[in-house]
Amino acid sequence: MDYLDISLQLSEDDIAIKNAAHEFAEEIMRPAAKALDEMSAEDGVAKKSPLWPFLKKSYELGYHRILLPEAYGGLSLSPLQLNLVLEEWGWGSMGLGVLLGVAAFPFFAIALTGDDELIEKYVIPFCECTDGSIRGCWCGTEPEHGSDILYFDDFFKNPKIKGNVQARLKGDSWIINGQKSAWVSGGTIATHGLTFLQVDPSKGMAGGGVCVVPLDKGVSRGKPLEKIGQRDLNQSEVFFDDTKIPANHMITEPDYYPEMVDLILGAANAAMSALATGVARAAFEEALVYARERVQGGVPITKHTSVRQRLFDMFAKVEACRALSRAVFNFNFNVSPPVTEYSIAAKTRCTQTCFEVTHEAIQILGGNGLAREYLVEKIFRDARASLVEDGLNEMLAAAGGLTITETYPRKSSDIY
Amino acid sequence: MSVVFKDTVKAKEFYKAFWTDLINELGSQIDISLLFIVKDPDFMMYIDSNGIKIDDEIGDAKADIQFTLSVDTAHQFWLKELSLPKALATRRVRTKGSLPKVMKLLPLLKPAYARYREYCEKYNLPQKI
Ligand SMILES: Cc1cc2nc3c(=O)[nH]c(=O)nc-3n(C[C@H](O)[C@H](O)[C@H](O)COP(=O)(O)OP(=O)(O)OC[C@H]3O[C@@H](n4cnc5c(N)ncnc54)[C@H](O)[C@@H]3O)c2cc1C
Repeated sequence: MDYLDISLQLSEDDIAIKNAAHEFAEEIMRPAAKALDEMSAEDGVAKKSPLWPFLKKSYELGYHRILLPEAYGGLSLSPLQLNLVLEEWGWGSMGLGVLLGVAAFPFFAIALTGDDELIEKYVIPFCECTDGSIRGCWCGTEPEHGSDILYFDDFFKNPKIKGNVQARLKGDSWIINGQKSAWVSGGTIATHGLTFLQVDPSKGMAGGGVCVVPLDKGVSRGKPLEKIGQRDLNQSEVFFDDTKIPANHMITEPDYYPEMVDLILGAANAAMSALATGVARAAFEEALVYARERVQGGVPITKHTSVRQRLFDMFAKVEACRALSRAVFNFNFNVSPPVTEYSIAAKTRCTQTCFEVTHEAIQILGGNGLAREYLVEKIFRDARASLVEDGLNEMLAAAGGLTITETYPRKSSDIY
Repeated sequence: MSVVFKDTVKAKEFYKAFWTDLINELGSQIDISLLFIVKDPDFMMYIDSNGIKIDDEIGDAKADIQFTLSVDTAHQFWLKELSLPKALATRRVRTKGSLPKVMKLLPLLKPAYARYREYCEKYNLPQKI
């Protein structure tokens, strides 16, 4: 369903991009997501899975390139256009939206370095790829370290806390050993990983590095993860066994690792807020369409004032999510480095609201809301996962809380 | 206190000459405007395909991308001693302007690194700090 955009700033290009993304979400994402949701995680990555035609179509349309600069073959979308596309992806499928987002992650990070050799080797082939065969992922979370990778307390610098994945420099190469947890999105199918790991254990979790790892030699994967929500998003463990990468593939070393984690979180959390807005909008629309048709007490339930109030509350929440998410995109993709507490505010607010709206959608649909046949059953489960994804909301709030207690109010002259 | 430039006049002269050459080389490829707010020594430089404006010459010209950084940070960046991600993450370079535009600029600057070293020799500036 289309919606009235209350921004008067949208250009013709913006509207065209938004409409095209909506069509993609409706015709390509939703059917693939529904099919994948109903399959086992293992079948979801099997040869005949609808995942492959979905990825091929997405790449053909250039959606893997939205974050990348034009000079390397990317689409160079503006911050607003990015927000519009991500909201539509969320509307289509949060899980597949995240999969497409992480697919670009290592290549986006390389593009930022401006390193010619890495760009030639990785970014340009990724942008040129039209069959979905080059796919990135983010190898962050570890079996023993989930929230530990966020900087929100002194533990971050505690040398007693050892990372599960470590890298040591040997000659001109880094040698990587260890295991990432089953939560790596795209973990089973990724060809490249943007990998966070421990480089200097004497600094604890702060002694990390960020590197790009081709996931072919010295890498194995776990079984695809079965889970409650975002089942259309493949996830699995990634194991490194004396995996060797050239020295220049370590794009961030411990001297600024905490700051880099903050910068990446600032971009990723903003993206999550737009996806969550799309999920919330999808739930509201499903509830509205159903309520217009469902007759109780002899009239469509939209004739009951209490149902109108509940639908209006959902509508208002979606608008509030969009306003916050867009404002944060507009700011944080127009200043570098981003002001991460605002991205955290958007991620935590929008995912929490999205969970509330999908929850209410089930209530509006009554028993049908719990049935597989109706979309709200799936998107409620997807929304639940988003409260954990890209940082548990309460732990993100702890990280944002640390920042605001130390820096609020920030001055624009300190930002740009 | 800058370890590279002892006085503002020399810093302005150096960067004006460097960017003028770069713009001549890039021609119409550089279709965005840049504002550098340089600290220590403090000055401002506005750049677009028409040339360079410094301090008062800038007037109320609006730039697509604004960079705030110290002159020593700029020097390290051009000498490739400081990567852009590190400069940004540590807030040694702060930008205002859309990220895609900042990223669009990067590949255009490729020929400038070698030229920067030539300028350092010409102006007798340290090539390491
Ligand atoms: C759908 C989805 C997609 C994901 N995609 C990726 C991905 O692509 N790559 C990746 O690397 N990871 C990914 N993740 C992992 C995700 O980022 C982690 O699950 C998340 O950061 C939480 O870590 P954890 O699950 O280990 O929980 P834990 O950190 O173990 O938290 C467990 C509980 O302990 C509490 N807790 C933890 N630490 C503290 C503390 N210091 N003080 C007080 N309470 C604390 C938390 O609030 C929580 O209630 C994904 C997760 C999901 C759900």
